[in-house]
Amino acid sequence: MEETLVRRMQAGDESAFDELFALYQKQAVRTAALITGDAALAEDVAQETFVLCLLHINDLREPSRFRPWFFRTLTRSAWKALQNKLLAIDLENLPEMAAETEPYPSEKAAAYEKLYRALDGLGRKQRTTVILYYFNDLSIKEIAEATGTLESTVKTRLFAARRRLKQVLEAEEQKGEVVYERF
Amino acid sequence: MKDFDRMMKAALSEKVWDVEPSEQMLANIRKEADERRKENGFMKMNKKKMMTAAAVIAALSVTCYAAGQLHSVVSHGSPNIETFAELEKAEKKLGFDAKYVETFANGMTFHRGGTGETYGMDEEGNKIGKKYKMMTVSYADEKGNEVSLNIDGGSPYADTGVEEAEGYSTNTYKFVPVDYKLTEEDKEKEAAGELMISVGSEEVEVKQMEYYGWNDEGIYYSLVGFDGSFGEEAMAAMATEIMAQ
Repeated sequence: MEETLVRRMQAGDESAFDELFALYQKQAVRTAALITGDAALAEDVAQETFVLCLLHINDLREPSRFRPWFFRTLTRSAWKALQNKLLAIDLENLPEMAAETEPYPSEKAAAYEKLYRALDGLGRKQRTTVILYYFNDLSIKEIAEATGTLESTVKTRLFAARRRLKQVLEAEEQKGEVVYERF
Repeated sequence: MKDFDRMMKAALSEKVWDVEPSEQMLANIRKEADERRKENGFMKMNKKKMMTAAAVIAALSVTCYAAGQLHSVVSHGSPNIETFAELEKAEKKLGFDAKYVETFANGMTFHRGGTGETYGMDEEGNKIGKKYKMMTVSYADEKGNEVSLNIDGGSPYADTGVEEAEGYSTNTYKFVPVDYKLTEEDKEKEAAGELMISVGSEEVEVKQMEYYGWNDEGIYYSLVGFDGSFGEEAMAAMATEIMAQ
């Protein structure tokens, strides 16, 4: 379906973009939220991704490869936004992080919180690889295209991330700690 | 699917289930895309003149590729000024005194001009460093020769500690579309310094570019001509006329 929409866009039919936007908008803003860890920033990242998509759709030579091309644009935009955010942080004016906690979290919620904390501890590239694999259901090949790296590197990152996440989860279980931190 | 994998998938979905795009997002995207198209629109309207500017940019960016984050320098503007009187009014927006002439002794006469900005970009296309006001003035004669005078209020290259080239030089440029694949011959010539590749044109064109640059009290000037029709002596004479203003 995306392939047809891309071909229509490349032929000058801009209404096809509206359909493409409808298909990808939620996934884009949610993926951006996961990569940046900032829901407000996610809207900007998703918007920038769609703007670039609209302006550069003719650069996409294989319309069938739209999905990895789109997520490559989104990943770059998210990494850039993260970098700018880090540069803009004024340490003296950091807002209080008000954690939204449940008084009696369920076992499942507590386990998820451990995972989020573990995920936050991963490097940017490993975390993005995990998100594209588990949340976006991208294949190893598509993630390689989206992150501009080799398939073997993606496999290595995924393997290392899984191992790291499991280790952290096990350590958290041993400490009995649960940290509630949401955006 | 293993338990861990299933848990990862469910946890990630759970974390962002309530994150929604705003209702204004599509309208904002279209507005932003339109603004960027307008910014770049003049490039399509006046291809030859932009190619001239692009050639200068490419020439300098090759020289300065290794200068830290700076990867290339871009000039944006609208060459929409068609009379010399309007050009003089536009000069006031620059914030510095620019030197230029209406007609050169060799007959090259004002044809078109415009103002804009010059700034540096990193390898990923992000704007970096200071922005400078710039003015471009195109001259033509009855034989169809053209030369552009580019005047920049500062230099992103100089800001990195790398001075821009002064004096006369000539290079062969190959202008190619963004999706152009370099041939083996292109790569060999580029590696040997015999060919400059400038990406972004609508079609493949090979041009001989002449360049004459100088710095006059912190203002960067460059004369750029194509097809090798001037030569060093003529370019230097035109530069001298401008310096004398």
